[in-house]
Amino acid sequence: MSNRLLPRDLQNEILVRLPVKSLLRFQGVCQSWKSFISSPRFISMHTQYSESTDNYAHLLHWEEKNDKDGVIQYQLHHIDGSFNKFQKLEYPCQIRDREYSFALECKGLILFTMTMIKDEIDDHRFEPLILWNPAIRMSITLPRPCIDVPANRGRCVHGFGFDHKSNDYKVVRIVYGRYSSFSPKAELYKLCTGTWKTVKVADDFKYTIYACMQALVNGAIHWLGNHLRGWPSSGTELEFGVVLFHICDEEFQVMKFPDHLISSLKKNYAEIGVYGGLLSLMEYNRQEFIHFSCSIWLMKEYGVAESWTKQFTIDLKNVLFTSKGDQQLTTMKDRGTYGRARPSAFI
Amino acid sequence: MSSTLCCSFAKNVTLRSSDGQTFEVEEAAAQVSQTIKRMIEDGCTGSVIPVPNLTGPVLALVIEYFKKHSPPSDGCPTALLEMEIKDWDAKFVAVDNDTLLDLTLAAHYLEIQGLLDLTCHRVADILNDNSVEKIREIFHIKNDFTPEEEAEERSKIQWAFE
Repeated sequence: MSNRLLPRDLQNEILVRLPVKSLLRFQGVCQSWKSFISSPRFISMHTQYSESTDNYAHLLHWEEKNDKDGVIQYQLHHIDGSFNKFQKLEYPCQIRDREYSFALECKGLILFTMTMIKDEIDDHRFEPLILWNPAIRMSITLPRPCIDVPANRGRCVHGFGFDHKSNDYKVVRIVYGRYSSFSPKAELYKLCTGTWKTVKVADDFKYTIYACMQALVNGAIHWLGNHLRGWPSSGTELEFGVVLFHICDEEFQVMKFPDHLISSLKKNYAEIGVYGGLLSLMEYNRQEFIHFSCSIWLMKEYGVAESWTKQFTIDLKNVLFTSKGDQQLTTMKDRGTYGRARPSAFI
Repeated sequence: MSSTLCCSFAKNVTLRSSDGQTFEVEEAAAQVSQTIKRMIEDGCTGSVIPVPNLTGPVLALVIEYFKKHSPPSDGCPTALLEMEIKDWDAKFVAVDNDTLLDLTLAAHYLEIQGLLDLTCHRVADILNDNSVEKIREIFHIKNDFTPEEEAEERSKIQWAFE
């Protein structure tokens, strides 16, 4: 493995196969290993390799608060049917004693965000966004965003993605007022610059993101959105669509749903996701207040509204639901990322 | 029937190692190596194909790998066969460190993707199980950190050493 023995590209072939914990240790082998392992090029090679092997898929599970010390615990579980515990994670110290309600995962990093609605009572409160790299046990607090959430039920939604062109993580934040007089505003945080900057939202952008779950596919962040067509005049109608943010181009767009899917979404609760690399919807078929079944919809051809197809329906009648079922945070499809494009912030 | 036909028409090629040893191997088996495949396509089959980066013992091992991984003459590989090959592979790379590194280099030079994956995985497993000191020893790497630097680096990521 010394330079005398193996050429550099062979050394890469071997090191990309190592877990993050070992790589951290092996930075201490010699100076050249240290600079190589911490180089942005190697970090992105390692992340790509991890993503190309499915063996490392894990489910991040939010455990209940531990009674002894009153802190939330996170655990990784294998997604192989056994659901065995893989590793307990050291949560970032910044999130201790705070009420983070949502976590977005992208390429091994996790962004902790807050609930969306701002009440009058909550006006004074601000919880910073925390970006966590569980694999290297480090986290950073994002600087305070520039756009304030309007008082009296203003809302904000976050999206978290990776720009393959600039090799950088990006956080987008969309702020809504309760009334349509406040047109949505958006800003973007780039990990490489470490600052927020405003992103243009078109004046006629009417859609509101109503569920904070995101789906990362095709280089864009996707949310479920709706808008009241015709409001405030009479005869209003609720329209549904996928709101998306192109991570490279930093632009918003809307993909409309076909009519039959809109009528389903008016009745039922749905979540957006990615299934087998395709944009998907999980639609919970509701009777009274109980979800009796869940249908998976797939957008077979990306960008083509007519290609939305109901793939299958899962009968939920015989499934016992526990409160734990709601506590799944997010899946992590790799062994974690070694670091990120600009090592100084994380390593 | 078809397999008998294939065998009777199977062409052989001769490979020569850096120390002058020659080995005869079926052309189809040798084409597991992209490098050799290109040489055959370029018309090197008439004479002996030189493999100057490999010594005789290493080339002999690589040829064993060729034979095991040559495309089956009688149709698609079965699941059972694939499992058997996987077991065979695992035993094939359970060798001493020097041989393993020779095989890794051979796979790289001869462009044998399967063998390269196999050996790199094995080397990574070995690295993973060893301490920093042991790795320096295995790969003849000189420690160029000062004791102070080393202690400081370690204190930052103490958990990774547990």
